[in-house]
Amino acid sequence: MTRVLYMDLSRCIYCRACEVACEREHDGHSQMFVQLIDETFAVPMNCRHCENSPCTLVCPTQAVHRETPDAVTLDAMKCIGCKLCTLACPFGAIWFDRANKVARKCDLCFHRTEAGLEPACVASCSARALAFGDFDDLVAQARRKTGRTVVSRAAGEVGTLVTLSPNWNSTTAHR
Amino acid sequence: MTNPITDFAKSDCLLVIGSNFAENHPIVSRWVMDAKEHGATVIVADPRVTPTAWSSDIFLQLLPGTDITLLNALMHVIIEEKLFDAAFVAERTTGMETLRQVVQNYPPERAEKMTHVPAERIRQAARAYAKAGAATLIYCMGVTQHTCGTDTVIACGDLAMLCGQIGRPGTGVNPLRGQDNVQGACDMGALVNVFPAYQPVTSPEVRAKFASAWGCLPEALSLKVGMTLVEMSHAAQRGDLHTMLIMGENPVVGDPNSTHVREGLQHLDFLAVVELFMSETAELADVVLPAASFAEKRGTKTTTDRRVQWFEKAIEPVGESHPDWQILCDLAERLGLAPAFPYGAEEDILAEINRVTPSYAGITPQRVQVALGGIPWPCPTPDHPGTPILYADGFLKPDRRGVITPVEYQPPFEETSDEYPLVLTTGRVVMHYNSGAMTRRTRALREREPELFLQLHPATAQRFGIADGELMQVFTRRGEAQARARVSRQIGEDVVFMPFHFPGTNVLTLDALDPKAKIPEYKVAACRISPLKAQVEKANQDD
Repeated sequence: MTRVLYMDLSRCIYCRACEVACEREHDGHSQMFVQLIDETFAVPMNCRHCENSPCTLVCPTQAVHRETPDAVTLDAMKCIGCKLCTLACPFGAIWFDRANKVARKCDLCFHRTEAGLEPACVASCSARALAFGDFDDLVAQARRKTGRTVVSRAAGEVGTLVTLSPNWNSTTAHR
Repeated sequence: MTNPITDFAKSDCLLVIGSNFAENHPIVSRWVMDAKEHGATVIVADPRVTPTAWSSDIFLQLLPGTDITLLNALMHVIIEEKLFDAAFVAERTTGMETLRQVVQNYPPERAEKMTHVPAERIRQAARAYAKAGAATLIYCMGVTQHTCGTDTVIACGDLAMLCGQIGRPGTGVNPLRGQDNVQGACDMGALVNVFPAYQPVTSPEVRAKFASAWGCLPEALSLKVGMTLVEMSHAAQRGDLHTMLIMGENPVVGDPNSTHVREGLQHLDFLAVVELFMSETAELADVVLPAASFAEKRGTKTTTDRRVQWFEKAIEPVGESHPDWQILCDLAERLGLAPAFPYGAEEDILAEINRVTPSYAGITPQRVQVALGGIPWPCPTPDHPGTPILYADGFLKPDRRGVITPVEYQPPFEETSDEYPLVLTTGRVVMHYNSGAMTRRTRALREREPELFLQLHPATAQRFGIADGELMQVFTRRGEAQARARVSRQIGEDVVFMPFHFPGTNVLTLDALDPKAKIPEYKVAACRISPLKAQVEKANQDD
């Protein structure tokens, strides 16, 4: 089982509560970067914790390493500030902390998930755009949800769908 | 709100007018997004393509101040196409014929000229709202902060009654209240005309009831309606008001025409401010009393959907700060009024509320302290479950019928002119809260939204020679302010937007009031803009 940070991009409202929560958990530095695209769309960007992570391959000191099956983390004590990981990352998710001369990235809130809590960004997500859990479960949920939306929209277009029983929990238009 | 926030997920159609909940009530998005995933149609009416509008199915980009025209045009289409709920109108309402006469003058083509919303889109929105199994209307200060604010709210109620979209799950007329306990403050009579539970101060019977509950002579309680906030600063300036006690309010930044507010407060003989921080208003005070923050207090708060919730303090008050109720009791004691304030703890205050507030009578301390999600009023007895949905079987009239009251479009107090050609509208951004007294002191929020900006369309920027990110000047008949230009296609060409969390904005706004609710018209002012460098050059030439 791989636990991942999953994003439902259609729900993000650019409130940036995830960034502020991340800052609070990580010494005033956010590892989450919500991107505003064309003034009409928001995409929360952070480390994807890639299965074949280029950052761990290029790190000369193994400061960036796979800590758990879920997370790629960065050991600041081993970091020499070469910034190779920031070049290797396809997402721009690793940044360089000039004050401390070390690279920084998302640690998937290891200290929280170990205690059974959600990562801070997920816990504070206003619109529930972010989720944390088993990858296969989350993808299955997304599939099911999209299926339901497609059916509901179709029902709206044609008026009504076949009704199974008088009290089924319909959300489509009928009075 | 007539319905719980969670009800939004049960709606088939959500009509959002004058609310940018994605920025101002972000949590609300949770249930709106759920509704969308279940196939609901989301209609958003706003002068700007706000994050709330991003996910809308039908977006109505109207000119500020034309909400009544839009609502009347929606009702015009609904009546013309016979989409209204005839049974509901016949059995549950009165006044339909007068509405028919008024809204027949608002065909979508006329509304298009006034609102700038395409007529066909008004028709689409009207059909979606009227035909939905359950449709909800969500509104906020975009419709209320006008000199016609009360009438616009009446039009919202008319639309819901016309379509029978009230009194059931997923329906309702739902104003999103701004602060965590503003609903509770109103319920408790922190208004100029009512005692707790909206019992009028002008009624001698009501006065006698409260005099008896508070152990005072009836004559000690005034039968006269008091002054609202803006009226107080006007009275202070005239010298008709001498002393003020301001608790948790920062009118020097938050009130319209703030130069005059400041002058009014400076004119007082004595000003005491109860505050968390040295706000712009506290700086003018003779005495500042330190208040305890939310984390240092216990008691109840009433949410926007009327749920009374108990909360406990997380920490003891820091330093010399006290909860507001203790500060009031201490003041009362020094004024010789101690017998009327016999409270040892928060529970004693709630027990008094239970006695004098019929809608809260059943929300006892014992009960609410273990009701985690809260209890929605009206809750008249201790065994009453509370009322999540209002008007399920009638309205608060002797005949149980809702009164449909048609309203006409009224122009804003100040219209644009050659000298002031643009409409300035004001509002909020996600990073800040009200006058910014708290959020401008919070690094994570301040760094993300550090200064006053003015949002304007690229064509408007070009017309006035303003570049994105440049400092600029904004002028109205009240005064001038400096802001950073934020060029954006979220806004139309004739309108500019400024958030009011910084001191500059309300120097510009006007203090014309709605005649009924006395709410100021924050949403429409005529303004003129220019690059800051033009000012500097002009000053140099003058030298």
